[in-house]
Amino acid sequence: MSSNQPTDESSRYPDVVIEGHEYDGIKEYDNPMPGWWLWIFYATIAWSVFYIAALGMGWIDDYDAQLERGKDRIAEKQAAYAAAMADEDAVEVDEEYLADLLDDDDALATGESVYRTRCASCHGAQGGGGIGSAFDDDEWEHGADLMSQYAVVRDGVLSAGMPAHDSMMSDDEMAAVVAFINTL
Amino acid sequence: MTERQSTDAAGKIPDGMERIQYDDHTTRLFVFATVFWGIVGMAVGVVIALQLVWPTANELGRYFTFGRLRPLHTNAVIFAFAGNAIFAAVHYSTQRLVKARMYSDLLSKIHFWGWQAIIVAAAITLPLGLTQTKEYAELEWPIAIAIAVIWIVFAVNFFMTLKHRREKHLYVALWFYIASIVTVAVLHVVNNLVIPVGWFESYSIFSGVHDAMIQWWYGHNAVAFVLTTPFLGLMYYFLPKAANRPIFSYKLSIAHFWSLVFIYIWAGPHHLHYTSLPEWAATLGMVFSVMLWMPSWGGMINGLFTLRGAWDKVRSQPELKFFVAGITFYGMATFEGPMMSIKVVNSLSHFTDWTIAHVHSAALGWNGFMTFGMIYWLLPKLWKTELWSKALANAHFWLATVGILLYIVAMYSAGITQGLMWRAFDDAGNLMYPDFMETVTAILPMYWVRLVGGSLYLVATFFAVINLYMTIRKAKQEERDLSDPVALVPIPTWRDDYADETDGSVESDDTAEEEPAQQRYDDLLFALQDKLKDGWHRLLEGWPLVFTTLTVIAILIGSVVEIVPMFTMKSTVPEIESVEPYTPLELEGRDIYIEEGCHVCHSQMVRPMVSEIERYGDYSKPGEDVYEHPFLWGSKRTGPDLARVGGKYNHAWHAQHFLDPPSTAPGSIMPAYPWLFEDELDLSRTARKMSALQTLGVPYTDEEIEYAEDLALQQAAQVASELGEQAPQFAGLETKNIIALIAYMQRLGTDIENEVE
Repeated sequence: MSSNQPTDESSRYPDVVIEGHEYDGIKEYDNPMPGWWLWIFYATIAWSVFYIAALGMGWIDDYDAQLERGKDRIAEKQAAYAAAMADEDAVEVDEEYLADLLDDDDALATGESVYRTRCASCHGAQGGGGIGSAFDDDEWEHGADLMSQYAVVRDGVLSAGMPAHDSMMSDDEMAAVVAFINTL
Repeated sequence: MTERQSTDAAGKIPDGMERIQYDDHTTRLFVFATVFWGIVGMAVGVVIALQLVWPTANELGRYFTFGRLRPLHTNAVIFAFAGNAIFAAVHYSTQRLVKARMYSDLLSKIHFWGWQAIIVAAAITLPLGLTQTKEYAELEWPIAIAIAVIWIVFAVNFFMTLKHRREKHLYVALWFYIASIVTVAVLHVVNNLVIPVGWFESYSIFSGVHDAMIQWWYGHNAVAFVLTTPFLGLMYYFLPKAANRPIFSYKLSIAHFWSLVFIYIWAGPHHLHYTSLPEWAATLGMVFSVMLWMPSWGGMINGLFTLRGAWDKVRSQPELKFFVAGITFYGMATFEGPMMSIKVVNSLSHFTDWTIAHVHSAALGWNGFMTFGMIYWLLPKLWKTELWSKALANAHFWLATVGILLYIVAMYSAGITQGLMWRAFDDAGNLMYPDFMETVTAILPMYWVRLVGGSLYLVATFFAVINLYMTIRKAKQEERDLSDPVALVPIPTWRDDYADETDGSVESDDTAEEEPAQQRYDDLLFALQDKLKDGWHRLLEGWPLVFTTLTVIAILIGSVVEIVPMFTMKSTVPEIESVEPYTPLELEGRDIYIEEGCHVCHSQMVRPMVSEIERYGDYSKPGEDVYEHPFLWGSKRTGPDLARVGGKYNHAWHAQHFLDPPSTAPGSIMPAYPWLFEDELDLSRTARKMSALQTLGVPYTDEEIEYAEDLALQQAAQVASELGEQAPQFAGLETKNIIALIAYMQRLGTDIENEVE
């Protein structure tokens, strides 16, 4: 840089009023556009060209590729979790396991709280039924054994409007709520 | 040049000058309307903010539920508050910038009262549920036509004023006004193309993907050409006037004006990322949004840098405080906008309150503050006295600023929180928050903070009302003369036609005598050279017609490139054979869904993301929407997506849910709709609706149309009997609206299940 280059702010923007530009008293300076403004503008244009090219070349994931990647990520997560669970003594929910819960106060308490938030709206606060079946009688439309009840909670009965809950509750919660409804 | 009271203008007029009167009466009317509708629009905003945290507030009555009031809020603040502010700015500044009175007092009057009548019509029809559904274009076709007519009146009045101008060159503020006027006209007409089926009922002529594209091309550019460019014009006039400083850079004005106008129009598709819109269009929307960053900031720079050397005035002049903060909010919003349009950011922000935060920082900060700054500067000018209280204006500024900050911080927090909750997976690979309700209750505290912030802003606006009222009272007490101000302006010697108009008092010097052809040709060349010595753009500024034409071309390029291929390329909407039109009953149900404004809170667009597929079902395909006139994808998920809700619950669940939402979804903030169980289903127009849709290409057979009512009754009887079996308390509803709505809900997203691969 030569020494006569303007360095201070005032000379970068000399603030020279343009002759003949006056509108209702408003004047205009002949200042240059700020360099950083111009360069960022050019940079966004360059980036846009690059982005479109990269998307076209497959360097950047399009919707489909992003979705596949997302599915893979979740599948890996699920596999890792299943593997980790296999190492431990994973609970196998069966008729016997559910029957044991009927006397388990902790499980019944869990079941009750799950019931209040997820089931009571359709099956009644006391299990008297409503939109869904009643639990305070001895009728079980989809099978009276505990595993049948468990299957209803887990998989739902779509024809009757009962949603599947396996994506919304853990196995323990579903088991607990089955135990709870048998106390009603 | 200087404005004087008409009383002392009787003196001798200097040579080369003439005496004109500006119309400030109309400007005063627009200022009143701005403040009045501002209060109304913001008050409705506070009411709907309250409804979201305290659903009982929906019990104001069936016409005042959130779904009906939210469009009223957006329309009132955009078209009534900001709209009237724009008209005030245009009316006041244009006359002075071109040194001519507005072309026609009659047109000004029609413009003002016509616009207010339209707003009143909106305020009546929207609560009645008469809506086209498309955001910021909800008003039904008779009102849409009235808007077009009044807009033309405004345009004629404006452009004829330019034609009769005495200032040869157009100042930058006018460029922005021109761009706004022509572009809004184009957008409004195209997005309101509907086929009427009744006085206040219609279907968009476009469907699904196409309708969505047109809508957001419109919607985004309503933001551009109603809320951005006119306000930049406003800024370019009122800021240098208030600060008494020259504009920082004329070159920057040119560069950012043209780049802004050319680029903005492309940005629309960024509202449709990850939807059924073809990805190439979304990509164009995204990259043009990013390129829009600096053109937008050009305005901010020219605004803030104009204040160099005048910052001390910001302390003493309240209007400058509003301008500085307003421009700063503009800078924030125009950085944030491009950021949000980047696909990966948008995947988080879309459908959440992040968008609400973004628009409010722009609307309250930029549009609101620029408007109030203008009003505080205008009051003394329009009423020829001093502002009643600077202290109150300062209090307005600070209280409103606190209000905005509370509002947007709360909404950023709510939006990001909810967006992250929607996509969170636990270690087992299941959704962390499978129950949508959890993601709502988590952000309700933020909704309270928003309510407080919005209320503060409303209270602060009342300070402006007080100042307005007291300033006018002061003017009355001081017996100020409010007749049209007189200005002495130079007689334009540059205009060839002017000599005739002014009785030959001025001779233009270049038409004096006949010349040989060659001589004349040379003269022309010299003249052109002379004209170009100040640059090509200076030439354009003297040619409003050419300038306007170039502006139209600039906005049409992006429009054509994005919209036309979508209609011509078959691959845009791959056909799905199993997709069929709605039954007559479902069609009526859909219209009830629209009337109640369900689409305001519920999207119908599952995006191709694992979290969404897990939560709602398979992602939405373009082919599913071919009969959707208008499209109902929505833009906000205050409640869950409904694209795949069909068959998920039984009829009884839906009935119970509409009657008392918290009973099936504890914690729900949805309003109850008891009237759906009382209102008789009206099937008298079903056939007409189907035949209108048939005209648009929906494959209803003539037979179906003929027996529309019977078909609807048949299905209603079946749905009602199923409902009665599931829940005896809901027996016997076959003639009620609820049955049609349930039939529609149960159909949503189910056609694709029948697809044979």
